[in-house]
Amino acid sequence: MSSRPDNAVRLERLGVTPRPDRGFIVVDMTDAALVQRVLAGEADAFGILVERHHRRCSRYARQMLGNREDAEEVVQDTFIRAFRSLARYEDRERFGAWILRILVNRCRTAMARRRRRDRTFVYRDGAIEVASREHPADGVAWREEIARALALLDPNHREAFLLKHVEELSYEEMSALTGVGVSALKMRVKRACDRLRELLEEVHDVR
Amino acid sequence: MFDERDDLIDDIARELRDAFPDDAAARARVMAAVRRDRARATARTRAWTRWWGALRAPRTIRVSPLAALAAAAAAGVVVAIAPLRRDGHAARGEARGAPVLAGAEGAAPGRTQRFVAANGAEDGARLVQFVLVAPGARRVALAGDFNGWNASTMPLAHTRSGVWSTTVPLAPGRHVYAFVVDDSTWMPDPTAARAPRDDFGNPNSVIVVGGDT
Repeated sequence: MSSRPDNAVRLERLGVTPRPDRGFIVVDMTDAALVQRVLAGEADAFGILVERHHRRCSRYARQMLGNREDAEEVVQDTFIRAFRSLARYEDRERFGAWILRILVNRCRTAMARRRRRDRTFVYRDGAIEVASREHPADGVAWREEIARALALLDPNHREAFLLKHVEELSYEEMSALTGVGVSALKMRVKRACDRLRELLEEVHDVR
Repeated sequence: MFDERDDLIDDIARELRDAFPDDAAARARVMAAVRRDRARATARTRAWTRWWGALRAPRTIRVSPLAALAAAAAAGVVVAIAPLRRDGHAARGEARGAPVLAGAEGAAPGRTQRFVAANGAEDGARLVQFVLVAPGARRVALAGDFNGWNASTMPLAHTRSGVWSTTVPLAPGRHVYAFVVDDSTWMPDPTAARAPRDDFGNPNSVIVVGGDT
């Protein structure tokens, strides 16, 4: 077909090398450069940004919200909003931090909506199912205990703990992202750690 | 002051960080959602541009004196009977309108249903068969601007060894589409022309459905 060379040229311009076994891998292009490509009309580049940041966003949303459906909805909403407002993204901020900020806000909104619906936080699904297929039995039990303990944390403490210890942000980055002061964030992380220790120490010691 | 790192917290953090699986199907659903949103935004912009253009375009209207008199007389009649209609018939009109509105809201979104309801006749829709040879596939679906890029509405049936097909009514005009294999891989129709680059990910295909013949 005559359009095949065009596709090859497009991919080359995007810095993408075709790999038949798993779609594409990207060679040497920063997130900021990909954003510029999208804004210049190369919408394909957004797919590469999704590829890069989807796992981290899904992980945070699932661990924050505790169920697969809500998490997937929030992550989709986050990427849609990011695409719509890409023109407002500024290079001085990392794309990863920018999208995480949108995600953290969407998670907060989702939790507020859920509180209004008066639903309780239940860690009920997917991560555990997926995990149970992939890991030996004691690993699953440990993972389930962590999920349950996480679910028992105050949402603000859970948010601070996940951003600090799982997403590995500095307190300054967390403060810029959440709008909460550094000392308050440190206190939240400390409370979260104390509570997790209280809930999990016994299980951890017998592993 | 708040150095909270210890073995337990490290173990918890590592578990949460590393054990989370990468989900290619969920990633594909994100891209499908972005495509749908983009298609809707484009359609809205086009509709607005069309209306705005139509409103701004100058018109020349030629009316004979007799027709002008008739129009003026008709307007006079409408003004005279309008208060009567408000008092007498409006309530019945609303009651008739209500079920229609409820039905429209209750229907599933997406164009598929509208085309199916039109049954290929009233708006000139044509039945189009899509075929893909994909021996290794477990599922194949059709997604395009005609179903809001929603792959769940148009699955292909596995007709014989490695051959997948479906037949759908399409309105006349140009349509952009792709096949979705195993819920995660988007691929163009190998037998069709490619769409110009207004998509994400892999390239799409184009089909042009003719009008009345």
